[in-house]
Amino acid sequence: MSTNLKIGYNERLVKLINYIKILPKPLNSRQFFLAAVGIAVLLRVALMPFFGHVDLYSEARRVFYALENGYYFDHSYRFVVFYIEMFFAAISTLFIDVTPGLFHIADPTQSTSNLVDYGFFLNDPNIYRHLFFFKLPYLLFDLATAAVIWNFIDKPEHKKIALLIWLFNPVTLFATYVFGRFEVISLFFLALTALQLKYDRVFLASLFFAMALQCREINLMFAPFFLIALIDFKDHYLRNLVLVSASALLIALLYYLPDWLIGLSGGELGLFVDPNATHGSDAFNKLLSLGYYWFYPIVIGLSALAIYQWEIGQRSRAERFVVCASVALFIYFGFNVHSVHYAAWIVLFPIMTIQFGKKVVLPFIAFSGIWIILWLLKTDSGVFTLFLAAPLSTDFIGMGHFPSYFQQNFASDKLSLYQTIQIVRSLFLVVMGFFAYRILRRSSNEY
Amino acid sequence: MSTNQLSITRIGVCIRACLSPAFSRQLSLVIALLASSHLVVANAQVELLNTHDLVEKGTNNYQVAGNDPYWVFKPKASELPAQFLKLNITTSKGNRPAELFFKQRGNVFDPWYRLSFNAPGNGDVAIRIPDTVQIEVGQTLRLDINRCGSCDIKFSTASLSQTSDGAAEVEITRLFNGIQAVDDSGKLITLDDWQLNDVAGLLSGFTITNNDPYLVSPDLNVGTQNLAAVYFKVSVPKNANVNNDYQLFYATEKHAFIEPATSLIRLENDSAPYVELLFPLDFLSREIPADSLLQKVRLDLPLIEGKWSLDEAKLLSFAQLEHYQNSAPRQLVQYKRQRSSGLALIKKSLMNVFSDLGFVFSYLLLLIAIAFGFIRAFKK
Repeated sequence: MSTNLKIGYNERLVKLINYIKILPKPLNSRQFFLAAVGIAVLLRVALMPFFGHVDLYSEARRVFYALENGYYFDHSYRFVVFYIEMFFAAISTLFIDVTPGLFHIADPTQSTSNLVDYGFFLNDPNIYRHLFFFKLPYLLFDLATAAVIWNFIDKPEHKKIALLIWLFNPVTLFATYVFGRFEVISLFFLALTALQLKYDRVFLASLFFAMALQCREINLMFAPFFLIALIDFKDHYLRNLVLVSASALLIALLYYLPDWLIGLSGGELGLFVDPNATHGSDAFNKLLSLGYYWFYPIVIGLSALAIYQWEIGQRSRAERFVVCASVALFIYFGFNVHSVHYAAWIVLFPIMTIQFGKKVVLPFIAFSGIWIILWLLKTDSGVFTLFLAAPLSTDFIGMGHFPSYFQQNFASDKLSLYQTIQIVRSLFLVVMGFFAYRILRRSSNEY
Repeated sequence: MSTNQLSITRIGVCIRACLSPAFSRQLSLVIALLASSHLVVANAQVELLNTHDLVEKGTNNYQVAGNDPYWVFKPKASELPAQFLKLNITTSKGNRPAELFFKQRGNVFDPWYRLSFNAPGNGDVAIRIPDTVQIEVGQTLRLDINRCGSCDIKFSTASLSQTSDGAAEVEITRLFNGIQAVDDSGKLITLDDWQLNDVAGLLSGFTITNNDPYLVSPDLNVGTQNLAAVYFKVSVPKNANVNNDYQLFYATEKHAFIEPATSLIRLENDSAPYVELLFPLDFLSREIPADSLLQKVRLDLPLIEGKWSLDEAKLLSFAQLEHYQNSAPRQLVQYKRQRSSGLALIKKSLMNVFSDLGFVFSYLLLLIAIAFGFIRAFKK
């Protein structure tokens, strides 16, 4: 293999960035970090006040409701995220007027805002202030995740690539600062888990993984890969058994302990839970948002992945975890596109695989492109078109509801909107496959 | 055959018919031929100038052949001064809604000058000409018969007279007689002739009797170009609700009262004996395409037991809006968002942004501080 190929395009890209003519001399690592983060912060702060999905308002209402009424221990749902948001909300009350008419919830079990209440919010003269403060915790956790990624990756040129992808990929920017969801908090704890694994700090890794589980239920999907990653194949099996069991016990305890303690102290755990919602037999559907039809290929894929992870036992804990967590996400999203902002889950782990020489820049570009096309076509009123920029205009892109625009201007008898969506979904699966290939193939380090 | 050749042929037909001894027998045929080519027709009772989406099937008999059937004609006069316009209309489907346009601008009839009525569809009808409307002999009018599908219609006479002469007098269901804009001092809405639903009593004192209480204004028919808001002052019974929601429906020339065309005001309950409601309607004239005419408003009330009254209702101009916004208590308003793009979007966004100056100032300061902070750290 030629030397040129061994250097890889990651390195060439960094060289290119470093030698951009507007800069008098190449940036050192510190300068690069500051410049990238500085621009990223300005970009984020510029987006924060002007966009938001109705879910962001609903979440803020719940937080302020719990805060105003002192129901601090009456809510077990994603409690890590909730307490972080509550902490920031408490601070933000110094700067925003929590108008009862705007944040009042008549029935907490129906806490998701309807469009009437959202309409009041949109017309509030302080809406930009509200949106800015609602997203403030996300900004801090987003930047903290960038710092974790920077510390996770060793080689300077790899650090830079990883940082740029994290800070400027459109999926994270959209999910966090346009749609306005808290995915980055969950991703921060997952990144921290990987960082602890890198230094073989199993206890801390288990602790942070348990915290990530309390941010998003989907993280349960990573649990088998986390536990398998803890196994040290050079060590005695009894020692491994104790280690994995202790870790699993810690995670389970941290997962159930808050519920148990809150229940024991007389708290009402289901404060925001709709008692009429269907659970039980549909639990898998609720947990992973999967129809059973899609469930089987994912289970088969994840099982195969677990076998693969066992087979690569000679690699480091951190590598096994981030590689398999990445591929688990590709399998999941290959068969289930879910909601637009959930694609933010895909971003973190592939970035971390750069530490292990994986070439992910091209797959990231393909992923970003196909994600935008898919959600322009598959969007409902609340996604790319009408409501996200509603504080500014209900028709921000000037095309109304884009799927309707597509129907009127592009669709034909031979290619309907539905068919186009199916084609793009298939392409999305192809991109996930491309991503998986780039991460599973032997990296340049291994040649 | 070209249009000119067709016309020459028809003129030739006319000349030959006039020279013929059977002139009188041929006359009706000639008229029918000319009518189909949209030239001036003089039949016995109506001077017909044009038809649209209608196929003539015989003398004065037509079949609807499109979505917009109408006749353009000049009424005859039997007696003057005229108080009635008499029409003879028979449709194969009986009673149909009809509209009479009475003002022409160039070749187009102005939609703001028209009256609507239900044509009984079985012969003579008499429309009493409103005092404010002028219809004169020889004036060009347009008659539309709506929702008739592909029905057959006979339209044979249109004349002006002093009396209805036994013809059935029809009620004018809607009259547009030009648009009157709201002037800078606003326009009071009369408290007479409101329609009340699920309430008992008068506007000056009523109680809610069922689940859908609302008050419908009389016809307003005002232009929206200087209309900024509608204001209500309502006396409200004492209640223990946390918030009370008031909803405004507005009907324009494009739609009647429909769910998407509503605004809501949410007021915190402060036990005051009355509330002031300020519903913005400025977007009606700013939207693209704009709604030009506010026809009616409807105020839906929250379900509160006790004595209510509507004390004042007013249409506000742009000049008045700021004063009323400052004097009325703060309220949460939910209204239709404006669709805008380009410069209009930038302008509107800036207006929204600058409505919270404290935040804007701090926000800009923060952006500058971040930029300077990073630049300083970068240079070290």
